[in-house]
Amino acid sequence: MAADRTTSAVAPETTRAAISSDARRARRSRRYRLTGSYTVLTVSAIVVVLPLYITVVNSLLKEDQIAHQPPPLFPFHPQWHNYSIAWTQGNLGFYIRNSLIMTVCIVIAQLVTSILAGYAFAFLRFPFRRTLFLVCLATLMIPFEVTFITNLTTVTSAGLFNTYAGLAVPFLATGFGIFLLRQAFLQIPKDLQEAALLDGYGHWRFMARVAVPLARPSVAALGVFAFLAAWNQYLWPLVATGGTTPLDTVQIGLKQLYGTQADQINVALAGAIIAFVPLLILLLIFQKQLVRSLTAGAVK
Amino acid sequence: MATRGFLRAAAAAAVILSSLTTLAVSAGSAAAAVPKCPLSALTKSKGVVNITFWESMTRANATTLQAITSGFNSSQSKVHVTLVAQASYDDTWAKYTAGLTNGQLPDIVLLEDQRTQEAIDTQSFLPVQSCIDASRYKTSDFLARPLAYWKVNGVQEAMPFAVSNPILYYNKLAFTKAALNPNNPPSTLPEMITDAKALKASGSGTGLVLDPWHLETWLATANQLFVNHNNGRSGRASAGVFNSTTGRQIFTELNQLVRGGFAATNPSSGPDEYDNLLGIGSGKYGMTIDTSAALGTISQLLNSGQYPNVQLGIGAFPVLSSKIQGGIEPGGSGVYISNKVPPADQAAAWQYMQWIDNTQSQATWAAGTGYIPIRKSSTQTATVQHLWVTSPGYKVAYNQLNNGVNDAATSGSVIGPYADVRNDILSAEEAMFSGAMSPSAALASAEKSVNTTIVGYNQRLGAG
Repeated sequence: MAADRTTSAVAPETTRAAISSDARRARRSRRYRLTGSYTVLTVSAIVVVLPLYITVVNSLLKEDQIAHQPPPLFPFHPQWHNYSIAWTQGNLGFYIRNSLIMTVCIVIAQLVTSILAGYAFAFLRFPFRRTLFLVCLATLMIPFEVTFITNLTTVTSAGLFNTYAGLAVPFLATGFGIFLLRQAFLQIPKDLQEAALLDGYGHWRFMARVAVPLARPSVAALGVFAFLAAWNQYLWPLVATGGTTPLDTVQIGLKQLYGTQADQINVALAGAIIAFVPLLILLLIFQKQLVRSLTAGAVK
Repeated sequence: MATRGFLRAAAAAAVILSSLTTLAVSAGSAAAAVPKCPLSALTKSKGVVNITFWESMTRANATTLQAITSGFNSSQSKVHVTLVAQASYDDTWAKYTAGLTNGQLPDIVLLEDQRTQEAIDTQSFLPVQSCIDASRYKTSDFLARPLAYWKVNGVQEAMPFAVSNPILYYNKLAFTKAALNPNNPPSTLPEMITDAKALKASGSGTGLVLDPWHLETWLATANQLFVNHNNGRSGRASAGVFNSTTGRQIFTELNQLVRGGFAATNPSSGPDEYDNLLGIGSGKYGMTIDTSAALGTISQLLNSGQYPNVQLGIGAFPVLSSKIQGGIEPGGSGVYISNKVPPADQAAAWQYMQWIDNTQSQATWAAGTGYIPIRKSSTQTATVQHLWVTSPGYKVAYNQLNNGVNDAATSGSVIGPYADVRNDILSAEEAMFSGAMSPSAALASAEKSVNTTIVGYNQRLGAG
């Protein structure tokens, strides 16, 4: 201590100079690092956002402006009626309704089945638990394309061809969801369950009051992923609907719109933006949960 | 999004195809006996027979088809046709093959030209030959090649309906600027190269869309086969036969056009698929080759007054050489009758087909869409005569399909994995244009991969 004081007393200027130059260097290097990471982030953001931006711009251009060279980067005379043309000519209201009904059914069902199965695999003891869990995992390895013919004949013979039920029924439970929620439930300390049992909680109440609220980020993430996957489906809605009034979903409707408006790409793009809106709303609402679930465990 | 959808559809089609391997296939038998066309089922049936037609026509084409169909529905009271619009030819096929497993099938379906062999391999169609025979239907008025396109082993499998072929689009003003005669577009590929050089020197250029049918089309203009067994018409195609002097000449000249910098290429799918045509509008290109089916849209756009520097000219497809007589092969789509539907439906489908392919319907169809009237008598109607006066370009496409030699080499090919074969050709072309391969090496490699592709398909089918 004393020696220290002496030293500082001997050469206070140099020390202060050293400290301040160190601090300056640290500050400078921090500034460089910040500038660097902001540059990288900005460039990445542009790469991600630009296609979306161009889509929005082009959806607001006149037909002949799209082929213009150089391409316009701002719609100075936005053609809002492109959106109404897409909506009415593309019959998007009907398609979006079909998509929403199918998607909401799938999301709710997947959440329910995944929570129940995930909980069972995490907290209950029963014979063949490991084997059954492996079977669930194994379904992740089978691409949908392999099973869809069988699914199609099953759905048709059950009389569900071209119905909302038929659209949703192959996706009511997923191995991915069960796996995700089982892992989330396993994070919950055993003590908590024991304490809850002592308080007289049965499995149902423990699941509803403790386990699911604690696993909320994972549950929300599963919901969002299920929504995205169901909303963007193409093959199944294509083959599982038919007759003279097929219950086509919005992705098929978009392809149809693109086909009918091949020389009006602006209208087709407006349709694509309309179909994207429900996803955008969902992402904005659940953004926090999603990011939290992606980084969960990263700092543990 | 669309690409992803297509990929998934393609994957589905692949899965279904492999599930078809269990089907027994009779390969190469000549003029097999056709099943009976159940004409009497319709006369015996009581009440209206309702049938569905899966098609994927767009905009003006869809409207015209609906008008022709409404005309049919009101012309009689026995059969009622409902059009069911599909998003694309590929989606129609994915849905049709899926429907084979659960019975959700249409009575009539419009399939793209390259599906002929695959359609036969599903064994789910009633060859229209049956009905032609049963009703003593006369086909002498039809253009020979469109009819022959859907004829395999002497059996008419489907009726031609929406037929088109490639033509030359050029800008007369650019030709004048390049000191070329604006009324004398190139009629051969070598002439096209000469003109492309002149266009380039005068500040414009030539657009070449990388359509995978270039090689086949130029072979046909030189009366050369593309695959063996008479282009797959006298037996199942099992190998390519294009690695020849003619094939090398085509690749060498295309290479000269592109590697010499006289033509710029753009892909035939995706966001850049219309660049060659749009380039005509912007003045970047003085000429390009594309399907005659695009003529309506192009003329409409150019006539909108936004392109003062363009005066559109239409020329016949530049053939390989003026010394050889060949012909342009037809493209487009044909109508098939499903044999999985009740007999009365099949007979009703045949009745409807005769309507959409009759003289006036084909005239209306041509005028409303830009497709070629496939009946000679249709060209005598006021409708087509008027069309040809107002837009002479349409006549060019008709004439080049009507003229020339009619044989297997000019009728197009019948190949199981046709789309994959065309992709093989395209990959080789791209390797050549990028400078990675010489024309003869590219052609040899194309034939090799085409053979592998065809043999693979035939083996999966048990027909190898």
